Amino acid sequence: MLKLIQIEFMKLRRRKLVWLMLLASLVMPFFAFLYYGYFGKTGIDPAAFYKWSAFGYTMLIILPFVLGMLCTILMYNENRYDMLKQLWIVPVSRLGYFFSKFFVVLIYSVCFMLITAIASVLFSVLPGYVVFEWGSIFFLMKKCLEIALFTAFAMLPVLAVTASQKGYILSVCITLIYAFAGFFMTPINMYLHPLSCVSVIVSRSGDIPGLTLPQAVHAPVAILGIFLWSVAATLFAMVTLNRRK
Amino acid sequence: MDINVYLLAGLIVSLFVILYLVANLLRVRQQLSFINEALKDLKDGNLNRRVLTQKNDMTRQICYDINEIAITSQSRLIQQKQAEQAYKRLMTSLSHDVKTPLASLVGYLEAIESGFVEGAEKDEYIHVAFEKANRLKEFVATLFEWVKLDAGEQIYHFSVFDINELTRNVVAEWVPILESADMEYNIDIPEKECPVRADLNAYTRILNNLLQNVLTHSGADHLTLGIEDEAHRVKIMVADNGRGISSSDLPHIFERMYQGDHSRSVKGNGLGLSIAKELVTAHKGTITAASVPGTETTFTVLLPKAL
Amino acid sequence: MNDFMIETTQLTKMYGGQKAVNCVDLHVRKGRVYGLLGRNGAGKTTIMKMILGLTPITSGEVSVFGQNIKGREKRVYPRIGAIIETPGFYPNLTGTENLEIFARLRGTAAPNAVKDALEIVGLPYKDKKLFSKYSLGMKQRLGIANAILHDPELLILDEPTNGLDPIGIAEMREFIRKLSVEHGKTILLSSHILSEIAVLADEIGIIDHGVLLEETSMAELEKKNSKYILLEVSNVPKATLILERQFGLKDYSVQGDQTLRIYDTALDMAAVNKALVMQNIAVASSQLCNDTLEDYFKKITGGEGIA
Repeated sequence: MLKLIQIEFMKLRRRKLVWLMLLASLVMPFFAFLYYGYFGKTGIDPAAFYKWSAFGYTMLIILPFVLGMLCTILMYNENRYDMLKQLWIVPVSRLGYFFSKFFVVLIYSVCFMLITAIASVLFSVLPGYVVFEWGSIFFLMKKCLEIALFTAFAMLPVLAVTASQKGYILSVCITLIYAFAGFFMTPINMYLHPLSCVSVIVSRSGDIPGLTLPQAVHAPVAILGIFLWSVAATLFAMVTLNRRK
Repeated sequence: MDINVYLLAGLIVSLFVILYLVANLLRVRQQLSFINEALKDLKDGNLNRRVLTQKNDMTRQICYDINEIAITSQSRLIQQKQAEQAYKRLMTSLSHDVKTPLASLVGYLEAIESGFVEGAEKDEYIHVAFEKANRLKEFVATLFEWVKLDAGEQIYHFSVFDINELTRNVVAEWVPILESADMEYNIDIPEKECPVRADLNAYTRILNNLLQNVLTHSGADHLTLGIEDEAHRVKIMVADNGRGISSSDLPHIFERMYQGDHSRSVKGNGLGLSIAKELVTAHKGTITAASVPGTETTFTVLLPKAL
Repeated sequence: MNDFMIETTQLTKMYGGQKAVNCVDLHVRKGRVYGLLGRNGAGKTTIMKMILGLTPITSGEVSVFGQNIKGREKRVYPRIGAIIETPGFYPNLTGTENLEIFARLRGTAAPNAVKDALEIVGLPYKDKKLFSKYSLGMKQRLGIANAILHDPELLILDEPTNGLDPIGIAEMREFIRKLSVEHGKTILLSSHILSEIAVLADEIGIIDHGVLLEETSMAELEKKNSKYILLEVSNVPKATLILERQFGLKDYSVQGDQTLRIYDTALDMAAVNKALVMQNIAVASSQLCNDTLEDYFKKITGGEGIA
């Protein structure tokens, strides 16, 4: 598996778009920087800052969208030139293929959120809005990693769908729909859509200000939700990959 | 609390390390089983079987070595088979090329023995039989030379000679032969010294074979021998104005002529050019032929200079 | 039977109600070159895909190396090298990088496998040209390099000369011959070009509309190909009359206004010519001919020849 993941990264050489998308992680921290700069205050509660820079739209829209695009790019690369038939006769197992792509998404997600975290810290501390303290940074890091991990799992359905597509247009549309569906489902029912489950898990201790959820927060249920969706996605992917001959 | 977290983290890390090591172990075990299977196949004679390995695998050197052994064994086997086939071909052609003149010779001698011919005719028969016997003798000698060359048993003694001087000496010996065959000749050898690493006997043989070839096969009446000095090599050309060689035959003239085309090997010198080529190759040079059918033929020998 | 490298039994593939491949019994012997000959769309690629397990089989069986591939992928696939349809690679990588990926995935038999494979097919090693900029010929060569990268015993090549220029085709031919003769590899290749198969294959299988019409060795085929006398005359009806009445000939066919084919090659052509001329029939030419592979193909596919 490690070999497969390594090879996946080899395949990403010269794919500038992939690395450029990482810059999207700077959007919200920058926005938060401007937002608080407008108010001109200092000594802001770090959690409030981070809510804008990391836990808000980044988690709910930007990260899912970026990860979805990544899935599309990863799968389109293979399907465009019908690489799959050459991969199967190596042999590469279909599960191994799917999960190696997933691990790329996971690692990318972690990198993305780390950059978000570091940018948040820089954008908050340097201009002096927030006091530098290890506790809040630690908190931020923990939350960012959780977001990265669970969102990656939540994107498995999208990965499965992109694996079944020959072109990229439908995949991009599905990504958009999926991300926005998650966003709009959250106020309605948090446990249906994997992305809203992510919000649940992240805010389980209630320590994210401003993120209000309609129902009671049960993190285990959310984890179960994500798990079920993941299993379904994997099965779907196996069926599609076996079918595509 | 802190200790608990650190403990947990430590536990998780060691878990991953253990998983990694176990995975590694399983991988090596699987690789060993692949090697086992391949070795069994190799033992059974399938020399085409290979073991594949990664660059960072523990067993990679073993795998590479096994593959190399298989490859060398296979090429040796194939070489052997080819040598056997070449030997068989040689034997069949040989028996033909010796049996035919021998049969003819015996025919003539029988006629003489049984008193079938008398007087002047008898003398003529004896003369013909003598010629045939001589030719047979020469042929057998050439054949053995070729066999030695082919088997790689020829031993060369290389030293640096002035190729021009060497050529002049060989040609000097040929002049009387050319004149008695009514062959006009034009020899153009430069005066300047041109050092070449050569074996004296081999080079003499090359020239002899080329000149003999012109005499016997070309039906020409004019022969040109020239030497040109180029930067890193020397060009020796032997040209004649004889019947030439057709373009379909041209690529094959340096072959051993033992492919069953006996009409061409009648004079038994299919070997002469082949021997010349072997010798030229041993000198690290090249020999080529060009011909306009019906008009002329040129043999060009290129030898590297000793610098 | 164990000495077939590939054997299919009643292999069938249905797409919807259509039988793309119909009860095919293929036999590829070890160390031979098997040519699958058929028009475009006859089912050659589908058969190859089924052999490799890339397409699900509707009914019938395939055994490779005497075993079923299913369940033993890790042991069987490394022994096979294949090109199916147009070989695809990653466009954002160079040729070398692409091969490095496959070398990492599969493992290699020798430390410099990528360099050697590129050298064999004549592509540069570690150059900067991205795969997206490759010409069709280069893409095909890279596909071949990928197929031989791990020195497999069995090669399955789908139209290997597709997209190559004449020199490339000649090189490929040499290469395939070398693989088969010098290295003893087994090769299954498909083509719709008769001349290619005729030159390369030891055994051929003729496929038309999904049905394996015939499976035979080239030697057998050459024997079977009827020899006939091609007679061009000025008056065909009159000539046939003479042939039947005077020579009792029944085994002939009229090919055109002025052409006859006589299948009885023992016929005394001198007598026939004389008889025809005496009856004022001009004989333009009379020669001994062979059916070409193309004619044979036309005959057994009952039709239009090769596309």
